[in-house]
Amino acid sequence: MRPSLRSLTDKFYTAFAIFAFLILIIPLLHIILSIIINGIKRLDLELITSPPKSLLGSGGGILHAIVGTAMVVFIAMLISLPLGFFVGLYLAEFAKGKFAHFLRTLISVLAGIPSIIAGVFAYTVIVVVYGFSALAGGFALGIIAIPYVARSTEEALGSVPMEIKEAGFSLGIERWKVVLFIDVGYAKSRIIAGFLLALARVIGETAPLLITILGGINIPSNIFSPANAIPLVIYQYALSPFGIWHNIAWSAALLLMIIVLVINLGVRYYLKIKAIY
Amino acid sequence: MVNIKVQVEGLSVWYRDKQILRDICILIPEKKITAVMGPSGCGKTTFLKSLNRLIEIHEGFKVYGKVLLDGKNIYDPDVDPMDIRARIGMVFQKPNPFPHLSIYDNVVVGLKLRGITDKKYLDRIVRETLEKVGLWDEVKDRLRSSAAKLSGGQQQRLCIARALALNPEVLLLDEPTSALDPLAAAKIENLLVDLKKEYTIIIVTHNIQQAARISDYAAFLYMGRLIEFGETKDIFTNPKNELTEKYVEGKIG
Amino acid sequence: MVSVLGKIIRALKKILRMDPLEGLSLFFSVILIVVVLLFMGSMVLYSLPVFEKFGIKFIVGTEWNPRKDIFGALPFVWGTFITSTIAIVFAVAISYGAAYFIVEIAPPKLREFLSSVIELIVAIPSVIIGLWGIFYVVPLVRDFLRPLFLPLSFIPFLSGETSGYSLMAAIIVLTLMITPISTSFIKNALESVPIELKEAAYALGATRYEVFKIVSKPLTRRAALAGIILAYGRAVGETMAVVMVVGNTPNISLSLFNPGYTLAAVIANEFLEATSVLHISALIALGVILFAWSLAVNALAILIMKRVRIS
Repeated sequence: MRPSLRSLTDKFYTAFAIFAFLILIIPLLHIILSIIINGIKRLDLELITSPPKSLLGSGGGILHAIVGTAMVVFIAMLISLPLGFFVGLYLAEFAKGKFAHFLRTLISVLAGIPSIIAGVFAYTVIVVVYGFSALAGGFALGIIAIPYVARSTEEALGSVPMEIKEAGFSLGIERWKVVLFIDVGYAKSRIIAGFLLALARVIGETAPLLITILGGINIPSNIFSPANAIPLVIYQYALSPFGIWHNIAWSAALLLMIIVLVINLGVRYYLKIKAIY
Repeated sequence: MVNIKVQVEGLSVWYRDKQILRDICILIPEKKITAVMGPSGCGKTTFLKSLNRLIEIHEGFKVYGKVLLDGKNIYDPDVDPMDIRARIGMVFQKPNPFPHLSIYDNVVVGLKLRGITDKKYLDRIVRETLEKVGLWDEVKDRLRSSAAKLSGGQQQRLCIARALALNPEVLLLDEPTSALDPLAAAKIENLLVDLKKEYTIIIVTHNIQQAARISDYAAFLYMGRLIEFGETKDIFTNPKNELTEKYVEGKIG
Repeated sequence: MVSVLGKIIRALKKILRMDPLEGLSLFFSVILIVVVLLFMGSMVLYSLPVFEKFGIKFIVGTEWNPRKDIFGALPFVWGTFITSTIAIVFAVAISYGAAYFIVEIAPPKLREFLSSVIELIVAIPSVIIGLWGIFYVVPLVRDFLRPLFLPLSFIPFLSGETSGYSLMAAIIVLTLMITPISTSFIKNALESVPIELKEAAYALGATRYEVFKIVSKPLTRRAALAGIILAYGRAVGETMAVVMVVGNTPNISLSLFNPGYTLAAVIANEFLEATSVLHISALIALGVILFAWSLAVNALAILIMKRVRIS
């Protein structure tokens, strides 16, 4: 009788695994489908080319939020790309011993901080000086992106084979030239992929923006003016009591999801075709 | 009477607490092919990398003794390792062209990174060196395409061209044919025999026949020691050391 | 004195002889360290007023009333604790099952596809999950789960009426968000188990589940644990999806059908309307608690990861 009990146990766990997988995948499919179905209605040209209209009229778009997101993400990249890139490069090529360990731990800590906290930090150093602004939001998102950029750069440079580095040094070139033109050149596509994934990561980030850029319906005129952003609009409109705004929230969510998924899928594809060496 | 190009005096190399090379003394003649043979793990590659200070980019190695290039110790504190590596070119076991660069740029990358941008000069160097390694006719129509698309043998000849573009005096080769098929290997061997008119060549190999075919002088390394060094024909026909004899007869790994 | 001076001079000489790129990248690394120090420093500085006024009462106090300038963080600590803890329990059960399914049961051709689907899901912005939560999870809790668990409402956790905006809704949304993370870790760990070991167990006549139980699971325990802790850290700090469905009411109640509040949610909600210095200070102090919380969680994960590498 023992074997049959054992195979029964095995069957039970197989059933449980299938059940668990369905529990995981069905809601996720539901999320994606409901965003497509609810969002497709208003995903039109007006949505991305016009600013919001007054409450009672139908139509209107989220141009202000698109401009705001572009601005905020641009500032975030301006901060995080150089910082993250050079820290990653330092870790991959130069750092040794305890200091390297310390720096890596610091990056892990930074990566694990809830994003809202980055917003609080931006509040304490930017908002109190310049007020609620695109700059403050960009700063917060930049802080969030740094560990992603640093890690992906370090990993990309770590993947450069020793033979390639040796070949560079054997040409009698200074170290910085070998690193910059041979190693970085070799790992270029993976480094850029890391940049793009960091961008996709922060573009949908909402919590830190909530307490730094104020929102509102105006198209920001410069980095010191309050701004809105696509994810923030989704939040604001979702909480409103108006069906028209709910529709815009769904469409903005669809737009955001498309942007994020296109970047993610694009990077995967790009790395696959670049994987010739 | 031959000129001595490289003189190695009491070279010992340690990796952490392990001694890789023990008190090597050797005289490398100018414009000849010197083969360094020995079973794997005998320190051949380490020896080669000590000759252009490439060993220094790896952590944990300590080098003692002297390596004289034209009578000047390359390990003297006033010597810049960059200059040494430019004067002593190197080709590696696995063909390692830079896959992110074009064929053209692979040849002149060393010059370009020295700030040489004169296009006519670079064009000329590309043509001359690629002709020298017998690659010009095969690639002249696709100089701008990626070096990663070449065959293994072509890649290795490109790597030789990359080293020659800097107009070195000495060429170090670390088992340059071990990753190639016999036909491609034969091409490289013929090329090396051609090149010795202009360059002093030191080739590490564990292929005994190859050493016999192309080298003028041969050294036998065993467990970090130089067992025997002399003219290739003497080493092969009349070895003085019993170990050397066993090795050239193929009785040691 | 002299030896200190000598040390400084030697350090300066070292910097001068440094490779320029090393110098530049070291410079950026030092900037990063300064930024992180500034980060922690400014948070602590801004939170001082409220800690000075309330002391330990700030953490154990149960009343949060900005109009009266009374600030006690316990309702938020409780809300964060209960939502993240229950979510991670669900997530562990589901992700072990799902990872087992992907690695051991699903056809190999599907495996890579399913893995990428799960990784892509992690990339969906949390505000989108929150939006979905408002329109589907909140009604589900109100119209389906509440009636379903009515017979069990004598259990404190399942008692009371609900509008749908509740700890329960937050737990569901959090579970969905963190399960792909832990699944991904457990799946990667299970895949790394050498096939020879599994074959050895199969050769002894073990069933698929027994191989998992005696070979794969013990071998991957640490890696899985690290992933689970990271997922837990995500649940603790998640803001948007929670703030949109949790009901945002600072009370300490056992019933999951009641509305609640979390640390991250209250910061997100009240920051813009906070006008008094003490209120802002209190919100930033909540941030310090959340910071310390996630720091502890991450430290644990890093510690476990390190052991993984050694073993």
